[in-house]
Amino acid sequence: MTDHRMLDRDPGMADLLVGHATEGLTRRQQEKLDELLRDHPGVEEDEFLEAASLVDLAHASRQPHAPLPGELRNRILEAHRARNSSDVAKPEVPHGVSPWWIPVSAAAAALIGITAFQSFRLTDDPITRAKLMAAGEATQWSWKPAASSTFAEVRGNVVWSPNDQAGFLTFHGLPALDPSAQQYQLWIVDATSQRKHPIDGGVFDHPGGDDPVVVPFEAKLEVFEATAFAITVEKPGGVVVSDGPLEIVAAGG
Amino acid sequence: MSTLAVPSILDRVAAEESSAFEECMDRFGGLVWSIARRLSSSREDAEDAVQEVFLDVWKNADRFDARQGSETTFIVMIGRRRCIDRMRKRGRQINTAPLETGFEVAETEDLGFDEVIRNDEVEHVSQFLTSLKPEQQRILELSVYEGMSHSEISEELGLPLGTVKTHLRRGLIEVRRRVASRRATQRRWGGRPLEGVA
Repeated sequence: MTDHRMLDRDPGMADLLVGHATEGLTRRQQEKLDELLRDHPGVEEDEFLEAASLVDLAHASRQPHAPLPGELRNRILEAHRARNSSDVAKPEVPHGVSPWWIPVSAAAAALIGITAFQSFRLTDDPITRAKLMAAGEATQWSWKPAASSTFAEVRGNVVWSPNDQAGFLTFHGLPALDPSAQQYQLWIVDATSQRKHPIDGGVFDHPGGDDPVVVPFEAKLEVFEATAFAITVEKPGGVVVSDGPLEIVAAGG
Repeated sequence: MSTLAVPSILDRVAAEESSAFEECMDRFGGLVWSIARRLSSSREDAEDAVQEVFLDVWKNADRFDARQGSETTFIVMIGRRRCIDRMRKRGRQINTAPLETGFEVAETEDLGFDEVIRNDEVEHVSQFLTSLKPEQQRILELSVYEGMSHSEISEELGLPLGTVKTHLRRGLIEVRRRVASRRATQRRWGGRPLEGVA
């Protein structure tokens, strides 16, 4: 635990840490905090999370509370049983180098949560895609087949808006998949030390017929610095951690 | 005579014991639901948050260390972390109308809630909070418990933003200091709780 006297001497940093544990930080504030944390390696991002949690409990102990609704409880349990019965390996919170993506940094691991999967509907919405590009801060990267991929004929691009944390995937020549057996899964690689695994961008179907295929997506966890997008083929519902192989990649810079 | 440590629920979740996850949900579900409802913009948002929190708990159960704090505190940390992340992504659309109505509470009060959240550490922090000036107590309550932003609190109480931030910062620094001091003292005395330790 950081010496509180250090935090007393640097109220600006302490305020950012408090903000992180209470109201959340804006992107700019988070960037500032990241910079300060790099300069003070002994300080942890969640310095005040435990204190805030104890204050939360102290207040909660004075209030009556409702139990978890039964329907929600059952829904969560069913999802948990489905997860366990699908032979998906429980994801390891990072302790070393991940197989096919970004190197693991030495920073303390954040709590990584990959949210419930969501199938995207296929849509062609050129107006919204154009607006995203016209806003000026969105980037566009072209798909390339990965080294070992059999998807050599696939072309298209990713449009990504860091401000909106959303984007569009466009594919020409994407092979059809039987949705009862396989789905495509999008992964977003974040180069900052906050993330040690790619972020799940969701699963989508392509039973065939449409070309180009246009898929809108939203990052479910904040992406601080997207450096690559990748597509894998997975079982229906996707996976928490993919063994690959990569099929298509779009990388920036 | 040696004593075998009883595995905690989180130890058993980490070991993937078949009933452990369900027991964890039954024990902490009301608490996580409370956090999610206070820090979410709608009931649907709160339900999604709870699902994500328990997924986080499942994935991180092996990180629980009883020497660092209670299971309850660990769960709340995960819950708050997830809900604050969601809040930030949403752009802070907190539902200012409480989702928990008095009628609902009267009908379906979680009678096991107290047992889950009350422990020596929480009592210690609670006593410390009541020793603060009313203004600082209120700021901590509005920020931490009710999920208001610092600027919202500033407006609500008619206080400068800097004053709000200072009260929050000093309050949480002091909570950290007191908890650390208490744990260090308990370790020296073999883990027996001590009264009157600052």
